[in-house]
Amino acid sequence: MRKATRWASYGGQAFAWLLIGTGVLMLFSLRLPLLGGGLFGGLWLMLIGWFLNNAALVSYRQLLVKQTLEEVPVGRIMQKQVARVDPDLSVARLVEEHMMGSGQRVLPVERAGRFLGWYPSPTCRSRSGARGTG
Amino acid sequence: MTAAEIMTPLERLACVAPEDDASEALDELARRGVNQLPVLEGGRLVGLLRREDVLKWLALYEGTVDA
Repeated sequence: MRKATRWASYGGQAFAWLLIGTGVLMLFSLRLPLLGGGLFGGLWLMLIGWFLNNAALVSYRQLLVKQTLEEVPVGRIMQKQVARVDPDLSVARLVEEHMMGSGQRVLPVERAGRFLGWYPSPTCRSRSGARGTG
Repeated sequence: MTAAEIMTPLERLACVAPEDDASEALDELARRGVNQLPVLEGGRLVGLLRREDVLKWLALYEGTVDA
């Protein structure tokens, strides 16, 4: 699968460069059946080739990321030092004493070592317009 | 008002385990559009997996992978 994606990406890049090359030749009066020739046709083909090349590079990059992270357990990457708060803590104290000081974007709420959830709530997220806190 | 009243409860959070594959966790971060996931082991929070932690790891080790 990994090899297949890699070769598909190489194939996509090769085809993209073929289009770009053909587009350049069309700029210099090469005429092709169906595609024609001329400045507009050449530039259009080069643009399509450029898009294809970018798409192939992005998919290849995604493959590399997946490959790097494969078989790496979350426990090796995660942040282990996490500030936590008690569920009975008031919101004012939570924000002033914990949120501002810890630098964490979320504060896990725990009771007797049991994880219950975290602050902020989805409502806070939508009000602030911020994404991705939970 | 207390933290318990306004928090996002566990049932509404996507969680990962420490032994889970990091690439799957990254997919989960992307799928949910979030920046961090709680890492749980037997109901206890053992860490936070943040997007930036994954990026740091990639920055350190990506070049060492044989492409």
